[in-house]
Parts: sequence; C-alpha cells; structure tokens
Amino acid sequence: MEALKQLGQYTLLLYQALRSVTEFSTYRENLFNEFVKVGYQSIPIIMLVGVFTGAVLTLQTAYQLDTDLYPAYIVGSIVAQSVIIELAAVISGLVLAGKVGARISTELGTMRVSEQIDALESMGFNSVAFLVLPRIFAGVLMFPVLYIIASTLGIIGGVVAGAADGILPAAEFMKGGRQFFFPEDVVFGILKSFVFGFVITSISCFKGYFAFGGAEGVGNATTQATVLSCIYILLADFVLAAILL
Amino acid sequence: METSKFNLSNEMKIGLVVIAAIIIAVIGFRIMRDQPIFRQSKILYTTFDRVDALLPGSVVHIKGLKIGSVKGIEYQVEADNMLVTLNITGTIPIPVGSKVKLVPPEVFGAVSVEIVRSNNSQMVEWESFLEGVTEQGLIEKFSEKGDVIADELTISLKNLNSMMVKIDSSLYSDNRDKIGNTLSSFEKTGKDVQELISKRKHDIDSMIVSMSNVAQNFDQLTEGNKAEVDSMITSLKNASSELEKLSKGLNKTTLSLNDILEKINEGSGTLGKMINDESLYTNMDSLSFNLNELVKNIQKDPKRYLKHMRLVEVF
Repeated sequence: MEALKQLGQYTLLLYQALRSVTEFSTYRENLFNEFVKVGYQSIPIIMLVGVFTGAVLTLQTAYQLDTDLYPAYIVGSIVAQSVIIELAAVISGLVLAGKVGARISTELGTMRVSEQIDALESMGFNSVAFLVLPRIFAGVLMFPVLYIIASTLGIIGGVVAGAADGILPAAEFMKGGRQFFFPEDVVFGILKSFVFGFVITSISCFKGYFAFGGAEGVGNATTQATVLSCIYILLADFVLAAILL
Repeated sequence: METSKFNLSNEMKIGLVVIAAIIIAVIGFRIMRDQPIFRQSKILYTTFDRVDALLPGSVVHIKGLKIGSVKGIEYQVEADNMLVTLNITGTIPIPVGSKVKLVPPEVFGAVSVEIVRSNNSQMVEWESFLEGVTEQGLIEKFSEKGDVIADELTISLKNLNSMMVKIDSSLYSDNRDKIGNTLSSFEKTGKDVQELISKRKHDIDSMIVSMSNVAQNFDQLTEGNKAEVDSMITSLKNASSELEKLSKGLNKTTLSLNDILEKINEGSGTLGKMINDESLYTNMDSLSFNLNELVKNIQKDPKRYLKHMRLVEVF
C-alpha cells in the first residue's frame, strides 16, 4: 500500500515537473547552476572511474584469458566493448548516485524540513519548477556527456594498462577494439546514461522533496535516495539490455 | 551569478564541457571506426558474392601491410551480391585493375581483405570500383581433402567387404568339410589326451607328490646349511671381486702389450727394427757366414791366428 502511494506521489511529482517545463524563467538560473554541479563538478571523479575501470578490466581479462587459444587482441575487443556497452554507464551511474543523488536529496530534504519549500509556495513560486525540474534536466542532459568522457577514458586506461603491463601493445588493443566496435553500442550506452541520469535525479528529488521529520528525516531520505537510485539503475540496466540487445 | 576562481560563468563551463564531450565523442568514434580524424578518407568499392563474416572495421591489407579498413557492407538486391566499401588510409598507390581478395581466417583469426596490385602504371581514382575475388580458407581446404579421403575410405571398405564375402564363400563351400574334419580330429586328440591323463592319473599324482618331497628336502637342506651357504656366497663374492681386479690388471696389461706390438709393427725400437728391417738379418747372415769361414780358416791354419797367443790365455 505504502509502495503504491509512493509510486503515485512520484508520478504526480514528475507530472507537475513536466507541466511546468514552459516556465523557463522560473528555473533558468537554477538550471545552469545544476548543470555545473551535476556535470562540470563530476568530471574529475568520472575520469578516475573511467580510467580505472578500463585498466582493471584489461588486467583481469588478460588474466582470465591466459591461454594460447585466443589471440591477444581479444582482450582489446572485450575491454572496449564492455566499457562502451556496460561499465562506463553503469559504474559512473552508481558513483553519481552517491555523489549527485545524495546532494540533491539532502538539499531538497533540508529545504523541506526547514519549511523553505513551503515559504516558496506561499510566495507564489512553483516549487517543483524551481527545484525539481532543473535537477532532472541537469541529470538527463549531463549524464550522456559524462558517459562519453568515462568510456573514452576507460578505453584509454585499458590501452595504457595493457601496454604498461606488457599484456598487449596499444596497436593490438585498438585492433581488437575496432573489430568489435559497433556504432549501435555507443547509442545504447548513451541511452543508458540518459536513463540513469533520469532515474538518479528524479528519485533523489522525490525522496528529498517529500522528506519529513527533521534532521533524521533528511538523513533517511538521503539514504533511501541513494539506495533506491542504485537499485533502479541496475534494474533499468537489465530492462534496457533485455529490450534493446 | 556564481563564478569560479577562473572567472568562468556557469554557462561557459557547461558550454566547454558539452563541446569537449562532443569533440571527444567524434574523435573517439572515428578512431574506433579506424577512420582518419581530420582529413576525409579515401574510399574504394568492391563487390563479393559472399562476405563470409566480414565486418565493418575488418582490416584491408596490401602484401600484408594494413592500409585501411572495411567501412561498410551492403547487400545489393538486383545484383545479388555484397557491396563492400573500403576506407583506405595508407599511402601505397593502388593501380587500375587491382583485385580485391577476400582472405578467409586462419584458425583463430578474422576475415580480412587483401588488395592485389596490378602492374598498371595508372592509379585508381578514389570512389571507383575494384574487382573482388574470394580465396579458399584453411578449413575449406581441409574439408575438400576430407572429401578425397572419404572417397578413398569408401573404396577400401568396398575391397574389404568383397574380401570378407570371398572368405565367407570359401568357408561355406569347398573347405567346409575339411574344416569340419580338422575340428573333429582336434576334438578326438583332446579326448585322447584326456583319457591318457585319467588313466595315468595315479602316476601323475605320485610324481607331483615326490617332486614336492624333493623340493621340501632341498628346502630343509638349504635351511640346515644356511650359514655354510652364506659363507659360500660371500667367498664367491670375494672371488668375483678379485676376478674383477684381475681382469682390470689384465686389461691394462693387454693395453700396454698392444702398445708395444703396435710400436714393433711400426718399426720403432730395437725389436721393431729387428723385425721390420731386413738389413739386420742380412748382416747377421753374412756375419755368420764370415764366422764360419773364419772358423774354417782357424782349423786349417791355427798358427796363423794364434801365433802370438798362448794356449793358457785362450782356454
């Protein structure tokens, strides 16, 4: 029952946000602020995630395929394709669920319990348009950008790790990567990151927006937002893979 | 509006990030598709009847050197063949009339494309067509060989079959009675042997018993004289070790004797010279002859030689 009620609240919130898309003047300033916070300020952590994902995947794939049965460049194929299809999107999604999702739900939750949202409402502001919409927009538009950075650096990290560890030269890695590079994979990855951006920001906004019960309530809302974001990222990942591959 | 320490406005930051991401995406995409990043690539077309798992991104070679990649493969409905677009990045000139060969994979490789250059002095223009040919792969070659082997095997089996039929017929016609006779005589022999054994059963039994007694006696004997047998064995052992030493010494002796004989044979040393040099013999011969003469002369005329010698001094 509670779950159904929450689903209704969530849908209603999204509907309100969608209805106020036209009120651009209300959320313009917040939108750019959020773009910077979600996108620009996440670049360092995303670069780190990308490089290490690719590097670790290269070493472990080489370890797992340590037979003479396969040519070495297969490592490049596996790493490049895995990074593009799955890891760049999902691992950055999980990391950003912590970084971005927690921030959003804490911000909104604090505003809710300190009655700032009520104040906005009483001043005649559309609080959903002012607070929720720019955050969801920022997530949806910035996550694909972050995905591109993560996947590129993932492949670069794989190339560097493979060459530095003597597993396979960079040219071999790229040969393998090219052999199984399909443009659809990139589209699929971008679509994934798009969905994850929406999942993280919308769930975090929802949990923060409807937080209650003082500081503890904000803490609970943040925890739930992060955990739910992670769960729904994995769920969405599975659903997308099942539908689109 | 919030500004950072570099005095970039939020809009600037976002714009930079988005443009950087787009540039990275385009460059990365072109690198992964093996297309040149900036300049427009050189395109050639070819057609194959079948492409055998050729993929966009497969390698294009000239004499084994990579000069580009397959950009796209399209099925042409009217011509019922595959239009393959080749993206050439290398600088090797390709003459008019060159052929494009589809190279099947070796055991774990991938399908690739090889351009076989013609001797024409005129070079192809980009976006023109080259003729496509296919080549047999390792596995196909093997399977063809396999056909031949299978045929040979069939023939061998047929021969074997006819042989078996012959054996069968020979068994069941002329020789059937003979074989039967042989078997029955074998049977009779067996029966005779059995009869013999049953008749002499008692003797055989007693023989076995006495043999067992003999063995037992021998056992007792050895048991009783164990110490003596032991000492005998030890002395035998000693003797054999002595024998070994002896044989070693003998060996040595033989070796040195061999050496000596060899030297003699070669003619070195007194003995050798004596044996091999005939002059000594002739000298001795003449000496003995002369001695003979001398003795005769002495007998004839002893005074001549013993004139100054007193008898006492001689004897």
